[in-house]
Amino acid sequence: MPFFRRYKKEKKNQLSIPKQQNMPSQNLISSEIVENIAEIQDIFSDTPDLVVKNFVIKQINRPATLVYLSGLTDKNAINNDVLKPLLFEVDKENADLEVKVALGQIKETNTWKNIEDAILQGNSVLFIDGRTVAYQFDTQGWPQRGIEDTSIESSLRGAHEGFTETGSSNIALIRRHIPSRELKIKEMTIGERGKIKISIMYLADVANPEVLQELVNRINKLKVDFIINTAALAEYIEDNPYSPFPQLFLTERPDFAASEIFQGRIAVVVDRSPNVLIGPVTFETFFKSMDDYSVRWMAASFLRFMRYFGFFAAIFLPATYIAVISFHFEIIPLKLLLSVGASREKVPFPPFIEAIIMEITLEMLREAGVRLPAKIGQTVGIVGGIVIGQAAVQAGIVSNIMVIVVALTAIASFIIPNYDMGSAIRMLRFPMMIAASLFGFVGLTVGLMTLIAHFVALESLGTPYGSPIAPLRFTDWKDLFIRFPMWSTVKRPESTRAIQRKKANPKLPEGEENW
Amino acid sequence: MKRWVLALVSILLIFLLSSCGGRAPLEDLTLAFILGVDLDDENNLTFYELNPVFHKGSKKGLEAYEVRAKTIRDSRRIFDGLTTGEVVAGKIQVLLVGERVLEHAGWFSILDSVYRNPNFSMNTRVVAVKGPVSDVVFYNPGEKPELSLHLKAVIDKSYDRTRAVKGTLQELHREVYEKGMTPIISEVKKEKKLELSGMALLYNKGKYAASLDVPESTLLLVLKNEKRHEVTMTIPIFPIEKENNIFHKNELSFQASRVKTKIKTGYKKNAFHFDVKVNMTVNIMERIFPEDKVKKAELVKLIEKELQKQFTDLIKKIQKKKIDPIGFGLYARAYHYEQFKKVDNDWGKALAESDINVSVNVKVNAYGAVK
Amino acid sequence: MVKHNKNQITLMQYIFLIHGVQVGVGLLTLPRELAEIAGTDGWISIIIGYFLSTVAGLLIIQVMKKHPNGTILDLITHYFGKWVGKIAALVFGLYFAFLASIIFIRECLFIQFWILPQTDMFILMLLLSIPTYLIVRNNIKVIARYSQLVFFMTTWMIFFYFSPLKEAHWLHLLPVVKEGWIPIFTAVKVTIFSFIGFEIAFFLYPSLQKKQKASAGFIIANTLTLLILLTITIVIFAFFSPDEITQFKEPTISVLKIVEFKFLERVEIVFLSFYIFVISTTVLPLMYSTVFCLSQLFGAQNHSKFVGWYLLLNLVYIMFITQTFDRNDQLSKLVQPISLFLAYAFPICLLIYVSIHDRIKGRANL
Repeated sequence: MPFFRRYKKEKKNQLSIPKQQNMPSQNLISSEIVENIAEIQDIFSDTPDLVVKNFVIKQINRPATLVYLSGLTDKNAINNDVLKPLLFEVDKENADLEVKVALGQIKETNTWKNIEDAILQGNSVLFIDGRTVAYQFDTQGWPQRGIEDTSIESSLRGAHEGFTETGSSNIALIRRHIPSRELKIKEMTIGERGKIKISIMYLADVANPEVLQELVNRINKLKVDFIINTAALAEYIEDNPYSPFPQLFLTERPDFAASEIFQGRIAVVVDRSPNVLIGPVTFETFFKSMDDYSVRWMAASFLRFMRYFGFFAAIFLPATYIAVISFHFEIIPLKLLLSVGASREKVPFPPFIEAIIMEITLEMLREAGVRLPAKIGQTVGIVGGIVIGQAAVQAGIVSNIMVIVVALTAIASFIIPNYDMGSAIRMLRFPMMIAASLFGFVGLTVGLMTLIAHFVALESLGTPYGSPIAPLRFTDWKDLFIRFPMWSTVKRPESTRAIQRKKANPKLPEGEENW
Repeated sequence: MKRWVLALVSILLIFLLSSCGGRAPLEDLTLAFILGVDLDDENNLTFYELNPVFHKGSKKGLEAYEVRAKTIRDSRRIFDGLTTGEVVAGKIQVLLVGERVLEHAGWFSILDSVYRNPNFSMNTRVVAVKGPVSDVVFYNPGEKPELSLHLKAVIDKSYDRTRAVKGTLQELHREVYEKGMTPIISEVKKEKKLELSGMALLYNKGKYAASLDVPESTLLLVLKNEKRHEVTMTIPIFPIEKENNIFHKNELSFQASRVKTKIKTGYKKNAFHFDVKVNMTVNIMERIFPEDKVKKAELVKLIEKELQKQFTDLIKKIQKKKIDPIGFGLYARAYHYEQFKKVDNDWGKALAESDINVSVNVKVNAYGAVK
Repeated sequence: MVKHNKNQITLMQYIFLIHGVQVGVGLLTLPRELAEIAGTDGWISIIIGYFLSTVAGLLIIQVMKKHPNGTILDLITHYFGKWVGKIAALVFGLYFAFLASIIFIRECLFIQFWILPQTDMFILMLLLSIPTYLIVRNNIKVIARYSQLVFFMTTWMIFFYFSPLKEAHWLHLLPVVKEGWIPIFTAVKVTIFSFIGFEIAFFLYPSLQKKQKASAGFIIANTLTLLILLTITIVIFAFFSPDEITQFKEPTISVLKIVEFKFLERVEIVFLSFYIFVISTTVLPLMYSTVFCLSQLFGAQNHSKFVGWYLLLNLVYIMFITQTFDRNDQLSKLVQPISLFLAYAFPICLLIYVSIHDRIKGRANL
């Protein structure tokens, strides 16, 4: 793709021009506290939520200033753990600040840049007159949501905790699943203005270092103002931006993220976003749900088959209908043909227009339902499904069979467990319908061929996206269409390119009794 | 940008140019379900076409047309002028051929369009009509389902019960071109009602040779080794005693659960020999004469004897007409290729001169639930 | 981007690439062509053709072993010098270009005749060019993945051919060798072209991961081809009467016209639409070889430009010259001697030359 590359490069060059006018100064702080306060007030002008508290530290009897942003800090911690000991307590020994302040994390800094960053991230900074270091207290605390059930990737029997908007607690949620020292976290900060902390989590002895390096390089290359959430990050770093398929997995489930890390994949936790990015992924990952591993393997396999069937039905069913009605009516058995013919007799539109009307209606209904409150959403469903469907048929605008086809398509697309893949599929059926209306089955075949052409060439973080289907790796098929029992899957999938293929102690415990 | 322009141009091109290549959707088509070929009194080719009407207002749900044209393709021109939609051939279920057409050798060439044009289905049943085709096409069975469905169902059901051949276009083509056998098609007649009357045997070029009634058809199919789901026969076991008996107390019906026909060939003294061995395992389904009339051991013998007589009669009939609907020629070619090659252009005659022996071997499996 | 196993294909991919190139449009007419010459004994010719092509293919691999890390072009350059290498690139490039074009056009002709009679050839070709371009512009690895996937996607179609067996007459196959061996040997000249396509092994060999299994892989690929050709040919010979089979231009499609299921009739339409996939595994590697040779000839790094030009050239050709089956047949008759030379005679000559050359060099070194 020479052209795309060029385009990308240009875009990046544009972005790399620094737009930030007020670069934080690298200057060191002064020992005069008055100067420091002036500097602070200069940096944070027009910041009503900035608190500058001047006081005298009783122990050493010196003027000091504590600076913090009121909304981002935990008032309890500041009052009880910082201010209270400093203001009132006097010890016999000449104990230093580290001992006095009852907080876990205290950092010393002396550059204005660090101080600015620290304040903006919700730390409080203490200046002491006569010292050329400032103390930075970990007093972060902002309004946050508690851990709730997952909403998109809900599960019946799996865990019910979902990621929240706080990066550190998301990391904690994953770490709870992987109590291993091999779980490494690489931290980096991106975004020129909206500095955001990104933590890359992986198992050092399993994940492929090349893949990791690739991911780190891609994130490092980013020169952007801000990244609003994980999906935005995924869009910046994915391999082929012109693909309909998602090439990185966004999950809101800690257990899923952890299990993928166990497989040798890499998770990226983006602060302030309730999703975690997982890469490299393959096509089949989007057809798995956490519930597959919490029900028995036969039931899970059955569901897997249904999903793949749903995938094809959602893309090709309306297109096949159009192709058959407008080109290849010969292939319908006689009796079915008679009933199709009778139902289409009154319809004034060609099948393609008929299908487009119904498909667009359905997509609008669906989108209307998503954004509305649940109670109104139900009404939309009734109005759309029952009233429009029924009325359209009676008015003779669409045929009964078309309504059935569209309804089946909708159900088939709902069965895909991943939202991104579901959206991709919803989109893909329109080009297929166009192709089918122009060329019948040949159009369908060429559509499928184009899809496959794209599919076999696509990569996720430099790893083949189609694995284990294309390239074919039969060893990985144990968790593809049929989910083989857990104890039989001994190896990590090849598509993760894990450097340690064999999972630890996979065999069934050998029982003593032979019943 | 070059790429996008290229993509855009090609998409536009597809849109613009394909508009001329589209096909009419299903509702704008007139699907011919039955096509009939016949000759009128002045020996002009007449074509019949029957198609369903989806419109709810129509009472019959069917339309039938009769036109005079030169060929099948030519007839489409006239049908198009008569019907609402474009007449298409993709779904023709039954092709009716009139008795008068069959009387002329070389009628098969009128079907050329059917084989040359990929739109036609090769599963269309070819059926001979005793009498004029118009009787069948314009026949309205009333409560029965549509004529096309009805006719096809009658043929298929009889085929499954080993009473008729499917006689698809493909089979007809094969039988016409095959030198080692002659064509057979099913035959219907319309007197008061439309009914299956048996099979029509044709000469190699397609000319009508003879008709078989339904029991004879079953015998022929057994000889052809084409037993389907069921073979049922009702045969007299001994001569009728009293003339004025309403109930023929000599009939026995059986269903053959296993029928295997073996044909052995030989060539001696410039003539072919065929040894036909019919092995049957039967279940007695019906016996309306009293049990003590015939002994069990004798019963089998009598069945065998009667069947053998019927088979021999049938073969004699065939030999007399110098046709080979059973396909002895296939066996002759497979096992006596050199000799067959010499006579393959007039195989019917060679078969008539050859010597055919039929032997029947019957095993009775069950005598039924009552004594 | 991290490159791993750059341009390496697995043994399985190698097998299906070769097999995919062999099975294509030829299969649609093969039974008729055989029956015209050898009657129902034609299937024996397939087996003879199989042995000949296997020998030729093994020779190719023996040749390639002499220079394992390069394609045939590198080998020729190594032994004969730069200019001969360039000429070889041109010859191979043109040969593959013609072969691919002929098959590509024939594919369009079949689609037009059997499925879309009202659609313009140009439009059909334009349509098929889209996925073709998308795949061929990539490296051999992607094409290999494609061939492999398509093989597993399409092999089930052979089950369609078991359905006509219900009405098969096995007596048609008897007697074996009816007219003596001469027609059977004559028909071999048809069957050796059914196996044509294995010469891309010249270009695949350096990409193969496990080179020691190249011969075994080739034999598996060729045997797969044999099995498919043989199955379909025998089914068709048993189904059609020997006297009528020559009447059908594409018996492989015609035989499916009688297959009917409860939910599907006219299977041949579905079959042929899907068969485009099978043909694409012939066309795509051939096109790849074409552009590979061209990019070698011009010393270009990226071959995707050539793909575009090649497809455009095809489109222009088809736009200005009306295509018919007859013209296509004539063209393929023209290419056949070249195939015969490049796939069968050339490896023998090359192997002899290279062995002698090496021996003389070896003696000189002593």
